[in-house]
Amino acid sequence: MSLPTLNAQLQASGISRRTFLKFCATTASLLALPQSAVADLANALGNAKRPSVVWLPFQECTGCTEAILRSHAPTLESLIFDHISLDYQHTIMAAAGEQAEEARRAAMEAHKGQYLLLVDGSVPMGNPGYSTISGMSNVDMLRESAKEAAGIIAIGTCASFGGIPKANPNPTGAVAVSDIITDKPIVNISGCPPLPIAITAVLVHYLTFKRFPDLDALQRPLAFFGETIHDRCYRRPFFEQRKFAKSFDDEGAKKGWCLFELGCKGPETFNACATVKWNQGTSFPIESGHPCLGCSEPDFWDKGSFYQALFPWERYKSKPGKGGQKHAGKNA
Amino acid sequence: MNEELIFITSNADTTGNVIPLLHQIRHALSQLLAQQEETTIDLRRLPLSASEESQLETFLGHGEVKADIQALGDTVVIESRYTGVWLETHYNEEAEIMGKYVHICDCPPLIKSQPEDMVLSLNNIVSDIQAMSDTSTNDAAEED
Amino acid sequence: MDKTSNNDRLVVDPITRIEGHLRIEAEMDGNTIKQAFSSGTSVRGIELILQGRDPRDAWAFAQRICGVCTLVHGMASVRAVEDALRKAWRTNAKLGVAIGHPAMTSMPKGPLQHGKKGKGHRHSGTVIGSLSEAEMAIPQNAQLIRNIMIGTQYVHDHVMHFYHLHALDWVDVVSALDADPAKTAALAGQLSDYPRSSPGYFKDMKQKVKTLVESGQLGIFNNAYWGHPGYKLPPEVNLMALAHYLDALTWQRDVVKVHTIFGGKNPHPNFVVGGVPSPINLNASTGINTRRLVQLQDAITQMKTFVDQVYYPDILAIAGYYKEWGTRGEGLGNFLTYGDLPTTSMDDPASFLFPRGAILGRDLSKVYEVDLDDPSEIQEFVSSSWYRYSGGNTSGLHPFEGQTNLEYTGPRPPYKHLNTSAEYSWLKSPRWKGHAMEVGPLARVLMMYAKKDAAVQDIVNRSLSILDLAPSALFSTLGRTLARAVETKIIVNQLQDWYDQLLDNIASGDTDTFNPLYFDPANWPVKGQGVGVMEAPRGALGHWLVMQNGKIDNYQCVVPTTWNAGPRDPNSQAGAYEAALQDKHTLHDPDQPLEILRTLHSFDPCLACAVHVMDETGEERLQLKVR
Repeated sequence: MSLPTLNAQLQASGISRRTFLKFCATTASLLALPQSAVADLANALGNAKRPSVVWLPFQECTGCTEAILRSHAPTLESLIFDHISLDYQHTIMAAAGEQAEEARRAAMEAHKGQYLLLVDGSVPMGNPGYSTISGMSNVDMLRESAKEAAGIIAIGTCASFGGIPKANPNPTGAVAVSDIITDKPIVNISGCPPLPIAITAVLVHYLTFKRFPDLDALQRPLAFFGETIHDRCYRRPFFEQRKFAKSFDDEGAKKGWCLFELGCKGPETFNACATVKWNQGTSFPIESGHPCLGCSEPDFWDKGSFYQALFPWERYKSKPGKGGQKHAGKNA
Repeated sequence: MNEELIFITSNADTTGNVIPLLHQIRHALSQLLAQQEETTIDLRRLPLSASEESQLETFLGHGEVKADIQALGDTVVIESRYTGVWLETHYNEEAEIMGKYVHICDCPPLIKSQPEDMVLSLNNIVSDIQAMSDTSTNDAAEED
Repeated sequence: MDKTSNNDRLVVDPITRIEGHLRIEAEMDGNTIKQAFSSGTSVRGIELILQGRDPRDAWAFAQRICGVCTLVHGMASVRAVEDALRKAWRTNAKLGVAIGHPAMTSMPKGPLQHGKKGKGHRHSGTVIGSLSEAEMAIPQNAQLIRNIMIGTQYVHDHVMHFYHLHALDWVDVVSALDADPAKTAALAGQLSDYPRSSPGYFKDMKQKVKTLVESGQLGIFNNAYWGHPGYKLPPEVNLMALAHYLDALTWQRDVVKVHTIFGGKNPHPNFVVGGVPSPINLNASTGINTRRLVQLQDAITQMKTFVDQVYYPDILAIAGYYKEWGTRGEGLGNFLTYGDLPTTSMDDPASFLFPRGAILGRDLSKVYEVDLDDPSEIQEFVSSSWYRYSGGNTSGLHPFEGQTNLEYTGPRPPYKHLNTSAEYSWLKSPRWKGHAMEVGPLARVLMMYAKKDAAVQDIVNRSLSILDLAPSALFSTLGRTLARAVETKIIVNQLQDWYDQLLDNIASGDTDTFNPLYFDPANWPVKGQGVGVMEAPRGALGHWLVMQNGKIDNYQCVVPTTWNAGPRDPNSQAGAYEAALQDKHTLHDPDQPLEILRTLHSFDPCLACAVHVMDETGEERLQLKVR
């Protein structure tokens, strides 16, 4: 089957090369690629064929799909989403029942070894009847669909690490995708839900270089999970100055002080919310006044109350961070 | 004026990255002159507070060139008062900043016309000239 | 669909364009559905996960029940905790008991309390007996912000449901290729003043569809039922609807910013027990300031414009071609609402925009009272579900006493058919005084209509007269979809009122958004129980919470899709989906289950919400009666 390239599609939709270069420049920065790589990125991405994508929903809440539907910068990103052939996606696909399953099998057959597998939701191992699609258990469907996939993107904390179904006492024996599939490249884009731009950027990287970007120890793309929320938080200076909100709507909260003592998990949470922000750069939880829940970390559901401070502030001086030492002890 | 605004703009700037960044720009400019080596600095990858960013922009100032590019949202390219040092800001269609770069080069890539676009524009100009001459021929015919 | 050797059994699984995992099996009489069985096929056990947690954290867990109607479970959870605390404070005040408990000292300490000027909020260790209603009140600003967030969820959900989950049941994508863009523009111009209606716009749209179809890779539109004779729209209407499908996708990205402003993100915005997390400080660079209020007004205007100019006119235009769907697909005839959107507080149902009540047998002349705390009214049954009640599966349990132990007794996957004469779903069967009830937009609109709400009667009557349909057409698949649009019209108008009230409040100097009394465990009773009520976009939602020694002791959700999609009860009464599918559904081609999708999608199924629960086996439940 001859598949159209992205260049051909851009031309058909009247998108100029200059516009495309701009998109490549901003995407390179998101992926922490050097700007000298923009020209290569544009060439490789422009000549990329439209890939087939199969998206499996397991123990999920559809928040991850919804997050993607809220993608930032719609026109630019829709370029990429127009450029993948989403051949199986329960939430938006027109076909149902046997026709839906037929579409999945046909895509896997036609693009053997080439298609990308996206998964949201965890997989219950306690009983195959805990979660089924078309009478098939989730674990069977995952194994069947992963077999001939080129790679797997686990979308959201549930697919990445087990997420809420795995929270104590893990009633259904939920596990992550990487607990089941061990012989394929897997990238985890965690977050509850994940930042949609991270998903797009990973897709662009894959289309361009035919491999996933650099990953951290938890298989998350470093470009988005290389720094903590705290590292890039605009309220960080208040942390250094030990100016904390003690309650919601108190004087400190009204002045936008640090939410550390209200339980903010920003210092131990790797994600890009503080820089990319949510819903077209509108805000992120800390900016709206609520502490970070730490939703991109494994087992964040079981790390104690969301409103309990991580550790006594004084202890932070022994942790990496620039201003800690300067003020430590002064207000002890 | 209210207290916290003064506080935020005066005390909250602690990265100290402006001076090292300016040295990097100086070095890149000398490399451009010596070896035609171009440099792009991605300001998004660099911790800078809001006021440090404006401090940097004030330092660089405006030179002779300012280009507005409309490409799925605006892009503004300004040559600073230091020739060869450019500041480029990408906005999306919602006018939110998508990226900000300092280019050290003789002409930032986005200003140049792209060959792919020129191929299309050649086609367009041919058909537009054709359409124009058709119209004038028809007009002439009708007058007869 | 899987047509099998015994050839009278039809299976549709997965039902797509919904939230979650739904399976339909139907016993056929020729091409007509005789018996329908609705099965939820995935379980996570979130209510068990909630056991033993800090009640202040519960909203975050509960919210992950669903990422589509993303705020409703967070909201219901916060309200459940607040209701439990208020009920206990009032009861204890009458008895003269001190609140707070030695066990509390080992709890995570709540943030320090800061007395608020002029409000007399209590500090830790308050001796009760003198808490006034004013001291217990959730601040008016928080109440308004919650209403605005809920209202936004409605508008967002309903519009997206129609275009992205429901429209392809009525709109034939391929037929749009035959449309004349100029005629499409003329048609769109007649329907409304929506500016994106030029011939050029529709020409580009047609080209887009053409490119997609010619590529041979149809992606999400692949293998569907295009060309099915059930599609009745002229090509121009198909093209217009498809253009609006894409416009709505862009529009929805913008309007959810309301949730991001107040809750930091969407999906899954943040909440807090006792108010809302965002402080109001017009001059600050963070929280709710002038810039945020301007953004909020923009989003409200955008919502109203799209609903008035696109969504509502499209519903009427498309419905005009499908009037026969006004005579089938209703089923039960019983409707239930819990009520929501308070003007004063959640303790005052009389002030709700959406009233509470029950309607039986399509009789709009009588609206019954509903008591959510009465153990004899709302009960859940598990005789057809994969759960086990310690007291046996034949009797129902009120949610305060609810229990759900997973016990899968279905066929071992991979399977062809469920055993629908025994247990066949991860959903329970909720009943009100023994009746199976439908919840959702149709129930709400009927309730308001029956209670003679002038605005609703006006929109309903006007819509029916444009469509030339009798009021009885409301009891149908078409009526359900129309009711959703009607209540969206009501909400977009109300959003502006709430915004104006919020501004008035702030202008008068009231900036409170949080009552710290609720947040400090030192103020909590040893025991308490409460119910958090919501009208979610998909219908009546309740979270029943029991707390003890500062921890969650039992947590039960009875959610809209459980009411609608639940299986048969011990008296063999069908649930709402099942009854609706048994109401005059003859399929043109059983291999293309378009008719089934139309009726199911008219309910807007949300299965992750509906499948839930379980308790630790045999643990004795605390029963604290609050009278």
